[in-house]
Amino acid sequence: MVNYWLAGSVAALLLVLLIVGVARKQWFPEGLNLSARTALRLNAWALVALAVAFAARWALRQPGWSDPLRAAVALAPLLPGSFYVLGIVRWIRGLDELQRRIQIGAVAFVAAVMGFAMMGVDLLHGAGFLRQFHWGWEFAYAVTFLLWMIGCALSTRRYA
Amino acid sequence: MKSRLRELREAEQWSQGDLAARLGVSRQTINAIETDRYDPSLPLAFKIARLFKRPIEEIFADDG
Repeated sequence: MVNYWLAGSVAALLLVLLIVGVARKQWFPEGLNLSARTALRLNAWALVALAVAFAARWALRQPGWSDPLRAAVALAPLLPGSFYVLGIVRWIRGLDELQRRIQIGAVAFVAAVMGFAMMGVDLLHGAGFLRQFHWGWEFAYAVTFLLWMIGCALSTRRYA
Repeated sequence: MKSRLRELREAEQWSQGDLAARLGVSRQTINAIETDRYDPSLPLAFKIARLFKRPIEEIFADDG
């Protein structure tokens, strides 16, 4: 339940940020002015990973799977997910030097904040708090995306 | 680093977008260089120098 509330709050915050971001274009790097075709090409593997994740979750509810097969099916979304990451890395390499620097700044921000957040949640778990909370991939993905947008805005402001 | 990029660009009557297209970078990059918020890489500095047919040190100066 806690997860759904948190994921919902993050999604709402994302929506607000998107609206504000569109209204105030200078908050976001020019490298993000993608055509619909490029945006779709970049995110296609993420959509495949999402579809595979839901399919795997449904499939694993069915009885009769051996343990190795269960593990393989559970990890199946990681394969399209890795293609998604490779596509993003290739896209960043193709950007001009300032846009690349902005993206590297944003990615470093995400890595640092996620690392601290995971450590914080784990420490709270150890102290007996947030018992019902666990990092589902949906929540982790939404938080990563939100942090990346904040990282882009912070990194862009330095050069605006 | 201080740059004379804006002055040179305006002398050619180019917009930031025009110059960005000639150099193969984003307009945001040109703006950041002109406002001294970003120091270009050596390859980009050489490209700028070649475009304006001037030595690098005439375009960029160390403000330290």
